[in-house]
Amino acid sequence: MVILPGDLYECKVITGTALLWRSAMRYALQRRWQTVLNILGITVGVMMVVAVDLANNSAREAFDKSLELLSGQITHQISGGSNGLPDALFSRVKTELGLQKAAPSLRGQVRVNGQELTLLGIDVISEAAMQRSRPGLPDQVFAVTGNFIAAVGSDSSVVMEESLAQSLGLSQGDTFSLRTMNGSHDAELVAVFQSQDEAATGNLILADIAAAQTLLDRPDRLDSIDLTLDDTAVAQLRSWLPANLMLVEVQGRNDNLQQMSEAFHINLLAMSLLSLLVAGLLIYNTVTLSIIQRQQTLGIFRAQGVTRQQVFTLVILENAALGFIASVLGVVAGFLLGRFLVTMVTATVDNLYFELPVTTFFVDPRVLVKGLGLGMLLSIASSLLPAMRAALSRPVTLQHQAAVNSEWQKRLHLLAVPGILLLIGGRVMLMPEYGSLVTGFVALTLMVFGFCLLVPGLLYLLLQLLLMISQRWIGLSGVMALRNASSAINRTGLAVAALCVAVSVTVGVGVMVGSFRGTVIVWLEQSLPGDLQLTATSADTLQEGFPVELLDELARTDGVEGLYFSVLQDVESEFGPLRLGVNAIPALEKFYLKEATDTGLSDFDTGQGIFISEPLAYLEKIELEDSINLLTENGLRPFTVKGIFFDYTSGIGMVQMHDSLYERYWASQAPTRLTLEIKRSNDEESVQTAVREILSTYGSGFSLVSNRQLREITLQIFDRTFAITNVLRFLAILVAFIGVVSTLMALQLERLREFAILRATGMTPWQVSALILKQTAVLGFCAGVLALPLGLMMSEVLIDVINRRSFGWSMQHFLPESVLIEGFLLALVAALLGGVYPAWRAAKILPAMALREE
Amino acid sequence: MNKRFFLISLLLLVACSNGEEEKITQRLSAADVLASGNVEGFLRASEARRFEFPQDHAAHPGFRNEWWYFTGNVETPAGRRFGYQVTFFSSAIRPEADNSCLENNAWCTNTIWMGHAAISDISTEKHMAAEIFSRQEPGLAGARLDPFRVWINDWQLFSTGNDFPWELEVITDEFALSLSLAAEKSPVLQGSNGLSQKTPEAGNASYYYSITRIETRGQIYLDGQRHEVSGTSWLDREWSTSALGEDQTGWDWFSLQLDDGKEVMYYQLRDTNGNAHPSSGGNLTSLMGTQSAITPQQMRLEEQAFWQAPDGKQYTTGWHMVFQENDWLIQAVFEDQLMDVTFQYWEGAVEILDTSSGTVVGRGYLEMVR
Amino acid sequence: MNQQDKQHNSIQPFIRLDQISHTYAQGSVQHRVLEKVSLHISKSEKVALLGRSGSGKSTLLNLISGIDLPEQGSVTLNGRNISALNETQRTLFRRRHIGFIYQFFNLVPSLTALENVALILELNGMGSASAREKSMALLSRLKVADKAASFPSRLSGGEQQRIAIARALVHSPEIVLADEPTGNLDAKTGEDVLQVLHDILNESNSSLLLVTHSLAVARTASRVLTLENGAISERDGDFAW
Repeated sequence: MVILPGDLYECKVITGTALLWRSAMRYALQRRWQTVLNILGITVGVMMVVAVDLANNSAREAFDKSLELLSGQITHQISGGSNGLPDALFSRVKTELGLQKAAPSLRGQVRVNGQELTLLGIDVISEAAMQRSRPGLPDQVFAVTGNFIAAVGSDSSVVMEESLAQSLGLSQGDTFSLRTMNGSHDAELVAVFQSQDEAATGNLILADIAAAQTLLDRPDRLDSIDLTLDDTAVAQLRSWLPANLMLVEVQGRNDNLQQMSEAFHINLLAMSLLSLLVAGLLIYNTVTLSIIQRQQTLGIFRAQGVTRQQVFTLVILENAALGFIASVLGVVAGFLLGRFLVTMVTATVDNLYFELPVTTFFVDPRVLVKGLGLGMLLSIASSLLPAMRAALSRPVTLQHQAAVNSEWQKRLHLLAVPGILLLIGGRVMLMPEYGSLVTGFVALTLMVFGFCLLVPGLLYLLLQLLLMISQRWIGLSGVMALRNASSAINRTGLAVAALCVAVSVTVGVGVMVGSFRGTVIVWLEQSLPGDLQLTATSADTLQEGFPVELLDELARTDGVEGLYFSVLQDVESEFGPLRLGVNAIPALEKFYLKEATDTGLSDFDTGQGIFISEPLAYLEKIELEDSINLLTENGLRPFTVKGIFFDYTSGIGMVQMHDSLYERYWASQAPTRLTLEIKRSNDEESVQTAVREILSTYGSGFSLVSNRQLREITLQIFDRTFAITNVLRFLAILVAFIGVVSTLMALQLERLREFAILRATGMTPWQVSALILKQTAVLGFCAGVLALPLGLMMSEVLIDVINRRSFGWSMQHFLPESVLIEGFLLALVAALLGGVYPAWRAAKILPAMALREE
Repeated sequence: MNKRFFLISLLLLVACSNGEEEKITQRLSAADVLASGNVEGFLRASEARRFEFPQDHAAHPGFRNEWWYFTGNVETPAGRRFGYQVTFFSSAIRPEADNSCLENNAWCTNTIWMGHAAISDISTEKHMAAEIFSRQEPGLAGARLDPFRVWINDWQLFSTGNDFPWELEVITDEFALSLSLAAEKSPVLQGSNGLSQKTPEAGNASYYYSITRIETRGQIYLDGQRHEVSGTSWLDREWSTSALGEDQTGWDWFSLQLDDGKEVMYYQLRDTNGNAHPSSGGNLTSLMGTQSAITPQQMRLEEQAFWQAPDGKQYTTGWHMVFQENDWLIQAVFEDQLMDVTFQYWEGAVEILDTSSGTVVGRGYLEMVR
Repeated sequence: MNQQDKQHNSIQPFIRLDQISHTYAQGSVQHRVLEKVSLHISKSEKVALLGRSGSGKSTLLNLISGIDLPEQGSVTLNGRNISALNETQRTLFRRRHIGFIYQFFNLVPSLTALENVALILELNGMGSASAREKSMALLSRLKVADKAASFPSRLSGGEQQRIAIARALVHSPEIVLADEPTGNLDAKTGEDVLQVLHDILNESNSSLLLVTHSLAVARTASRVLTLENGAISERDGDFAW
């Protein structure tokens, strides 16, 4: 039924149908628990979308601000990889080239009073010439309170925002201890300033380059030189710049970085939308249910001359009103939840892409409006079909319920056919190997939707099957429970489908994360060669490498089988910065290879080529025997890709090469890492103790970590990265939970009269309660059973398509039984909970009801 | 003696306002800064000293402020005239750089440099100004003797040896200049044998010498065109750790080069009412380089024409100067020669006219701080 | 049916209501429906209770079956004071000793005809197979055996009521309470159903309390009472069966 514009005058009759409204309102009030649950369902759905949206936006904002803070408003950067560049270059850029808009930058993570902060070393005088504003910092450097300048040229003075100083318990003039990876230094807080943007500066310690070099133990180095250049200056600088340095175009790099993390945001958004789909199904279901419950009332209305348009409008407006209340609540709740989520989202971005010195909770009012609109739209859209159905109510006083039921069962195949088509369609959409992420999600949604349409039919078949199998030994009350569940499919089908989707999300994501974790564990076992890692950490040891005597001593230590030098550094490439790993361990022993050329392993060991990580290969579409350009000490040089290895450390790509190859292009770099192999026969603990003892005589410039510890740390980081996923899983379940409880409750309350008969017939209150719980348990059981294939299908798509397209990771499939059992139990518990209140009510029901007039 | 002093004071204010939370606006009035400045720990110009050249052309660490201040009038063979100003200011944040810091870190510095450069294109009445800021270390700016070099990034004044002739090179976005400078007279010690008292308070003085006539030859680059120029420049050198008195709010400073070979330097401090302050004075250098002081009592200065800057401040572009036997009209070559940089002041080329005949008898530079 | 030999037991009435008063609340309005009513029904006695709609007939049935408890007075069934039993005890008592027949049949829609009948036997602890067997026998007796596998929604009113009668009698209750059993049936079907009920009751030893507003239906009982203004009075006349 469609309302034509010409019919709209009918709607005006609403003013004359106050009684219709009163009837609707009383209905809602009578079933206030159901009404509250309906509202709650939409609320949680909207909350989730709003919260994720806010968290995503905040993370993006933090990303933007971080980039702006660290490299904003500049066109280019001179970058020299992980060791940075010699600071003398800066003086030459300014005095020889006369580039005024050039500023040095050096940064690192520090810890003050247990708080993790970013130390940013700048030259305020150069900053003034750059005329760039950084978020939170006063526009003009000279406009900062006086002692900011006092920090210039001192090697221990720092400056920070006032509220940060307060939170650290510091005031101007205080000297405090500042810890870095390599030790600690005393710093003096010479000035505080008031921030225009606390989010941007709240984790920031500012210092002069001199102080930053000292405090971070990086004498004579800069991370980058920031530049604002016009085209002629670019050309001039390019030809002037030493070959081992690279002039990077900043916008392009930042865009790149942002695009990579965008995949992660799309993932979160998709998950929140999936939960909204669940909410939508549930709204549709509850509205339909309320129409069925009121069929008779509506029929009477119709008999008395209420028009179809009026009935339609009544239902739509009623749900729009509920949707409005729910959405407002959802937006508020989403706002609160968003605050919490943003820290988790930011943590993930930190781990995967880019250490963000900025954390912010950025509230874009559009997000709130969007959430409100989405909730309303969902409520209205989900009530369209039921409203039409209500409008089509025949003006008769009695509808025979059985007729409705059987009609439904006949129509089950009408749902199944489009369901199967959607499933197939989704599957086909997933075929192309390099499809887009968004298509991946659309396909996934189609498949989920298709499966939903199949659920009522499958549920029916499943219940029939159960009945057939168990009829003999479950007794009549068991039979009754199964038959009741089956006859109510028109009311429960979609609730079960929604529960199914929600549970399958947990199962799917759980299996995906489990597989991922399992893969990472396998990968860690195979790609961390040796047993102990010794790393140079102080400025001296980084520069000088390992003393020969130390190496001697280590080699002579009982239990040490082998020593391998290694390097881990950032390297510039045509694709932006990459991690470069180097050592002399044979390729066979250290790689978890995805693919390699026939001679790949020996080519690697003889320095004929390099191996690259899978994400790099996937995202940049690099194939075996392709070459990629890396910035060496002699400038950009091509390296041939001989193999692709699995890597899960970072969203950014990684390159591995053999020591011999590295030496050819990075002759001046001393190795900064040492891998120790321990003899099988020896106890790792005792060897570690012996090594520590030796190290203690060589000062504090080395750190020793066992591979076992490294694996643990990696897994910890992994778990932190996926914490957000678990929250979203939980919320999706919550939505379904509320919806299912609401639906089952309504369904059972509707049958109270029937329970009264049973009570009159001689069932005890407990028997009636048990009957209800059996019934809902059966539905939960079925939802659980159906959710498993859907969940597994989802996990396949997540693992093989979504993750690949998002991050370029491929992983093995692991099937953690616990996830399956959890999912199944979740469905069962949700359904059982839906039966608790009706069971309680039914137990208290007076059998006398059976005798009352119809 | 007090000239340009405020510019450096501004930097110092920033350095020394001791954590007061008020924000300092970008464009400050001189009055806001005159009384401030921490002098503790710095050397002070409290007594006469012996000047030695060329050593004194280089930096004098220990004092808070120092500058190399060039002004000049030049023209092309075809007679197109330009005025120019190039200044290197240095200002110390702390009395001296921490030695342990200096040993460990090339960036340790206690000195910040500021450069100003301007060209007055007299034929088009266009004034262009540029500024540059830099810390001293690592090698970004400085002043050293052997070979002589004063530089802020790529702006530099240098010599192959340690004395004249000097080369002055400045490149800005709008213009560039490259000038060879040859002193025509010996340094003139200003004030009392080079000790220029600012207020009666002891130590509130500067060491101040000038080279009042420098033959200048070179190129000015403007709008993509190169102009061969020649003319005469003036150098002021001053170092001090001093502050203005509380009743002093600005000044007028004249450097005049007469066609007959004389030079006149005269400054007049202005009090809070805009009147001449008693601590004013000047110096007359004869053709042969002999000097005689000009006291405020000998000098009569009348303001005749005015120009209002966009910020509302009023500058005097026409003066009537009478002292000893001289009766001159001093007129700006054009009105708007405002230094539109971080710290604003008016600094521009002037012509000296004989009042009675109206003929041009010399050229010079005028600085006004309000 | 196992008590066929016991014809009359007039010494101790099987159902005994003493000075019952009861109020029926409808919303905030209290209806005093029974006022010091006393009633004695002997074992296997067939009693009809006549009364207008709303006169408290249903309430009386609820009190007798232990579904409700009287506010004042006592209900004694087979010598046991119902008021002294708790809810579960009353429920157990009900399902062992009482059979119900309703105006609207009240069959459980999700159970077949046979299952509806067998339910109470199962509730009383009988095994599934024997419960079905026994139920089936009764359905045959009521001539609805062919409908045994049908769900209530597929049955006519008369058929439904026959099933309901089977359900009320299958566990051989001492008393059958029938609330307008023909009220929702057409005249002919009503007569048939009533006939079947009496036929079977005559074979068993069960008492019957038949609540109706129809004199014709009431006449089928051996004793007719009227409930009016909260009080019961014996009706004159000989209603021989």
